[in-house]
Amino acid sequence: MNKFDKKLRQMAAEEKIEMPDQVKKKMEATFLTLPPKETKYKQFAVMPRMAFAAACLAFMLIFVMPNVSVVYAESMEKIPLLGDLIHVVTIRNYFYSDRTHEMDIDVPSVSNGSDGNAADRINDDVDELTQELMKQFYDELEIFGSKGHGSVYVDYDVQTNTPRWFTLKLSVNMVAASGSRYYKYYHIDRNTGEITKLSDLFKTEDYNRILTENIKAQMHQRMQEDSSQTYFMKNAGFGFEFADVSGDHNFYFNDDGDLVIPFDKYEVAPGSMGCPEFTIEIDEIRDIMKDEYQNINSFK
Amino acid sequence: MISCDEFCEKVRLYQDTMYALAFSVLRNDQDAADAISESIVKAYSKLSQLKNPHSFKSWLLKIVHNTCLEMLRKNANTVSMDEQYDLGENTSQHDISTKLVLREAVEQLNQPYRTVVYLFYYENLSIAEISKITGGSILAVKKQLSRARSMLQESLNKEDFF
Repeated sequence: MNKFDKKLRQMAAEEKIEMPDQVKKKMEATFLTLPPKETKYKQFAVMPRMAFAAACLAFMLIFVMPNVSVVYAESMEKIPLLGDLIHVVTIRNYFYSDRTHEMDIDVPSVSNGSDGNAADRINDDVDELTQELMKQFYDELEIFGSKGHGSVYVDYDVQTNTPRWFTLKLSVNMVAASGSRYYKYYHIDRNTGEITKLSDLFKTEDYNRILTENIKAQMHQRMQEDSSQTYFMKNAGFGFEFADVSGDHNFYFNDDGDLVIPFDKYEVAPGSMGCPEFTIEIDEIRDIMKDEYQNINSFK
Repeated sequence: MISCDEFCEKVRLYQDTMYALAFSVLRNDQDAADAISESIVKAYSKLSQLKNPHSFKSWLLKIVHNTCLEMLRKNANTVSMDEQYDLGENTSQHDISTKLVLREAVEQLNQPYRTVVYLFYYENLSIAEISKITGGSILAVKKQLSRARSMLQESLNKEDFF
């Protein structure tokens, strides 16, 4: 080892790097989640008797009865948001539970006569995604068994369902040592019956630059106002920042009709920031938006 | 087969090295904590695959390194790996104290030089061990170290430390 290396190792020893307390805490918390080596897990946890009875009843009411009784099916049609507008029901639930793993996936099915094609495409996409998540879950279970741990949860929410607009929000939550959460939004423009992407909302090509600049300005402002907030920005010491908002990026309209751009965990900020969202007031982007999308929630 | 408690004890022995490695790749404490946590779970579940107990340290650090790279890949929307490796100055986040002379200089290095320097100078690992952890060949690590050495020499000389 040459003189320079010796000097550097000496300097490094004086500047010893130690794990900070907050990282140590998380590490110790992880140790507590590790199962003992001898653990044998039950393949399927037994559902409590009451919960099982309730699940059977719900299954009867939601799935069996509408199929065997015309009167019952007609009465279900009259339930608001089930009868008129677009129908969304849970068609399948994949469930697994043992001491170290849990999976609970609700698969929705969207149906509507006039928007049949768009609904089918959403159903296919959701089906593909949930099948992939389930395969990944069972693959890991097979490899790691009781030595590993992990969970995957998928549920959904009909965020908007009006004669003008339909939005389905799919939430995917995967938990291993650290949590990963992301959302997927599906929109149907009821006027055209088509699935609508972010790029479809705008009449000019430079919408992604305008949205990106707006979001970066909001990030900057949030960091200035609250020192606990951090986003991947050059001036926050990261040396890089997110490139831009693409044409198929997630979005939704909030109750005020403003455009909201959500991001997945780790997409634009460290994991501790969760899934950040940025609201862009319609008035700020009215000039570049197509007229028909400027008052989407006025039907609410 | 070691017990869960023994495993935790062994991991604690290398906690500072794991942190230095994760931080050198991810450059912030929150993500480093996530990566370490995920690596511990992976290592525990793969413990039966560790053939030689004496290789525990490099085996564990390899898992940490791979997990960090996976996290960067998941974050590909913000920046590609190559772009990240090409980053120039001002890439340091200030989770680690910036009053430290050598560390300041190391933080200015691009990847993979930063990781190699941390492992070689701070953690006193050999070139062979570093090559096992990062997955590069011994020759590649030697070259990386040599380039890192030149860059450090230049920046530290500029600061008049030698």
